Amino acid sequence: MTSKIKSHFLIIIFSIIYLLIGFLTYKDYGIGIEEHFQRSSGFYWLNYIFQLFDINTYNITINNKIIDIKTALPNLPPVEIAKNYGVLFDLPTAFIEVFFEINDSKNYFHLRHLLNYLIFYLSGIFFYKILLERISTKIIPFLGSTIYMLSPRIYGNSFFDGKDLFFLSILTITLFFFFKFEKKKNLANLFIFALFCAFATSSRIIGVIVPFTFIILIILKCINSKNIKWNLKIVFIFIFFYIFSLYLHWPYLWTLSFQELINFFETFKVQAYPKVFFKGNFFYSHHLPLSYIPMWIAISTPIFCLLLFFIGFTNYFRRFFLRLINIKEKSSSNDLWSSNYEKNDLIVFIIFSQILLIYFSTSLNLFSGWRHFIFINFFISYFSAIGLYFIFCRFRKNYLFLRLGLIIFLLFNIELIFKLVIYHPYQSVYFNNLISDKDKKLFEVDTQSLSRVDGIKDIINTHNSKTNVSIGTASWTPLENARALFSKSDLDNVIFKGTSNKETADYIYSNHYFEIDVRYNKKYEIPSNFYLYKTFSVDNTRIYSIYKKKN
Amino acid sequence: MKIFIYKILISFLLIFILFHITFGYAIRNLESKFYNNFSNDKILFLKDKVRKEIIRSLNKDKILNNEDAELLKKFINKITNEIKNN
Repeated sequence: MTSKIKSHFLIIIFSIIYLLIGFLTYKDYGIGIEEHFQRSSGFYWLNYIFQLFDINTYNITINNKIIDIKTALPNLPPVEIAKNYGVLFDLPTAFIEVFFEINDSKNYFHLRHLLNYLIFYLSGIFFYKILLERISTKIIPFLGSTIYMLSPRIYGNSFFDGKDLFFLSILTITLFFFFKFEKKKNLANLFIFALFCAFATSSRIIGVIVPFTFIILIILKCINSKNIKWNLKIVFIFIFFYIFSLYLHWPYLWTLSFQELINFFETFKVQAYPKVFFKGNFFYSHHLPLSYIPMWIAISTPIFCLLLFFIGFTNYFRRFFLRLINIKEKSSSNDLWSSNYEKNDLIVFIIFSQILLIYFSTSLNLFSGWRHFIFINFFISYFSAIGLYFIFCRFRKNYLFLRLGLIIFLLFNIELIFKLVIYHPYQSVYFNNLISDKDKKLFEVDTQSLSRVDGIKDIINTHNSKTNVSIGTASWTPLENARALFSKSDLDNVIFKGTSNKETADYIYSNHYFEIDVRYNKKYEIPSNFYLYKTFSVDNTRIYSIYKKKN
Repeated sequence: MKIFIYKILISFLLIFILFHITFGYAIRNLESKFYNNFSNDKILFLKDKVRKEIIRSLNKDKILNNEDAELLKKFINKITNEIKNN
């Protein structure tokens, strides 16, 4: 026990600090753009399941919650428009809310934030274990895990993004069980892996890539092996477990007709086509330049992670290429890997390549930066750790260089922690030093609309009077949806005017996030009787502005 | 046989990638330029702008300067004559 603690000393200390900071700060984050919809989706499915199994215990509470949501948020889209997601996170959180009778809106949103954060932390530990299996030192898995858990955009999103970031957490855990099965092939490991594949698929449809990769791996094994029968048996058992667990835990599948099952993937297409502000221009979300995701990753990931990723990825690709050109008709081991370590790298490489192929070959409907691709953080962190390990192996005997390298890495980490502190609680809008302060204005910033709560607080403090204050909105996301993080008495004097009546308000809030081309559409234009009262920026990144009516 | 399978797989993959970094990329670029340049907002904006300009010009005493009026007069006369003669 003591030796175990000693050997994992760094990650234990890191975990304590990480959790402590999380517990102390999770209440600082505002409401994410999708949180209301996700909560609504949770109650929709909870209600569906309880009705299906004729459980009447919480019927009244659930129905009241659903009515409350509809009354408080009349503009919230109905769950039916995207009912395919949310069973894994939203349904259990809805159940916890009902079971523990959490009725204060602040508490149930904070609970969601805390749970999401804890799940992400857990996935960080799984990531550490993945690296421990892959890399034979203790320090590099630890450093790799810090890259995974401290990348600012990821860290920020870990509190409120119960969909895309939650998928990153599930993907990491799924890959851990993938590697575990590959290391020790037994029925229990296969079942757990299939179960997590099902979880990954129901969290985001792109999760289907993991079972697909498993099948590719089996094909690669079959090309080499005489054990084709055994491999085929594994595939069939896996597919059975996968489909069985997918169907069992995903009520959305129970509702599908035969016709809907045939067009299964169609329903996952995003039906909204907002305009996206990117590099100073407006684009349709389904006709974005190919540089969209690569550019976003390049400007919002710490530079040293990008460098390490480049080293790790090119190094692995070189090894893969050499293996490919040296394939012989007859060989005793597998063609593309010789050890379990190399097989793990290959699995990650195959999944990553498929993501690249999907991205570059299809016109995806994307907006809000690289939120939909945030799960790439796993691949960035994994190859960064491989890059670190490559440097370590290269200069293993040069102690001076190793020490120097460690000091440089620590300096980068100190800068990263400094940025995490100054951006708090807006880590999700982090930009690295590759982009100038001037150019930050050429990109959408507060795409998660976190600043709504702070914006309202700012206006209430500014107004500082017993008289009513009315606030208009010049943003795609409704300001009034941030009410959930206020107590009723805080908002007694506040009147939300929305967007269409904003000229009659006392103040106008804008986080400069629009779904239209504001150069041609004047929907969000600030009326001439208002002036810019305040702009809130972090690290010279403009988060939101408040406009005040001229006297 | 094994090497043949690998060659087939790699060839398909390379053709796929090659297509997408050449034709696919060009088509997507054109599509993107087309859709983004003829957006609904832009067309509505232009329509509105034309409407406003017409209203503004109606409020003016004189829309055209003398030279332009003379030029347009000659042009319209010529067109009218040509239509009549046909």
